[in-house]
Amino acid sequence: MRAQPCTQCSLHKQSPYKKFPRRQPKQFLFFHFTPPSRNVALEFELTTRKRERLRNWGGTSPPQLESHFPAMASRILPSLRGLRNASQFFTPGKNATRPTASLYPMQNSRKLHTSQSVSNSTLPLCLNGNGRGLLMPLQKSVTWQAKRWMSAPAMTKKFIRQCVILNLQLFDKIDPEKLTLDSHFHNDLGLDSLDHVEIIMAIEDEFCFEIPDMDAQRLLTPRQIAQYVCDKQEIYDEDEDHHGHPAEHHEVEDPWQKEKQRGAFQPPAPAHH
Amino acid sequence: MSSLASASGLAPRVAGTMIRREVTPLLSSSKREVRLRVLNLYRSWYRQIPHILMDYDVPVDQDKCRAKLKEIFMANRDVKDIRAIDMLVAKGQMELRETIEVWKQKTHFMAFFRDSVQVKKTDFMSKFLDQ
Repeated sequence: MRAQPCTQCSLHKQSPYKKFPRRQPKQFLFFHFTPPSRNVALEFELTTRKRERLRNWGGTSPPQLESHFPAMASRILPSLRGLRNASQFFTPGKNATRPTASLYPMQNSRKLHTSQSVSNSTLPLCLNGNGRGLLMPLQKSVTWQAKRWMSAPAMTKKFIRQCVILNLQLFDKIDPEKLTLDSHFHNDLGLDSLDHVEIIMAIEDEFCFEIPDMDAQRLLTPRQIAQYVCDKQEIYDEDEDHHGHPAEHHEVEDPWQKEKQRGAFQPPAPAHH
Repeated sequence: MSSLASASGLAPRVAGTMIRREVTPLLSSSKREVRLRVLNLYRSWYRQIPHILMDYDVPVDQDKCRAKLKEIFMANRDVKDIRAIDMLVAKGQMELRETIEVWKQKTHFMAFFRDSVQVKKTDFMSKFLDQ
């Protein structure tokens, strides 16, 4: 006899099955988090010139901020507490009309040199590109390479080639001295198709992925095998192109060329007040 | 079609022509396909050898098994008819299944290693005992 919901008891006003509602999937906070848009030019400027600018009051501001600077910074900076250090990143730009240096409550520039200490609390600040104009701390980029205990080792083309050669040398039917990267199985090493099948099986076991028959019949030298494994595992080598020939390194266009021509990334001039 | 006529035996045979018959395939319709079947059968047997040796208590090791496998495949290397190769592949698959499921016994598995040729005994005692 199924339990009927009690008409008087407030607990059972709802269905007994609804007492334990189905658990909702967790709402991950990340979906609602919009990171502040990054001002890459500013970041570059700040990270490379940070120490010099901290030492010398009055560094050069990045080109993009010159337009923002007079309107926003003058309104925002004095109102924010504990941001003495912020003002050093904003200096009179080329387009600034009024003497904005006077807006900053900096008593003595010399104090800045001696008492300045770079800590986590004095992270470089950037203007939030959302348009709200709030200063937000830049993420301190920490480049730690975590030790992975359960993953496969980092593969390189050289490593794969060594693996392939080693596996082939362990074969009874192959003479280790005669084996090179380009030795053909049928022509040079005198193996037949069943030996070839055994070789492909050994490669499959080594790298833990299946090689279909259509591809297997094309792989007739160790170099081709290594290249195939690299292609399947998506391992690229900068110094070699797809066919194993040394790659040409093309000159990369300098993305900061325009700014450099304008004289943006110069060492900061000593301050004058 | 000249091939049909020659199959029935009515057409006169001309020296140097190849006599072909059109027949329904067993499993494979081309040489490429039958080759893939053979290689896959070899692969399956090769991969199964360590497991077989764990199931059966037989006085052979892995290298001997692999050599024997190669030998049996090589013995049939001259077969050219696609349907005959298909039949051999099917028989090989049946043998493999029986071996995997342990429907065979030790002695059936060791039959692979038994020589089919009986060597004649030459010395007196062996001849006397074999009488």
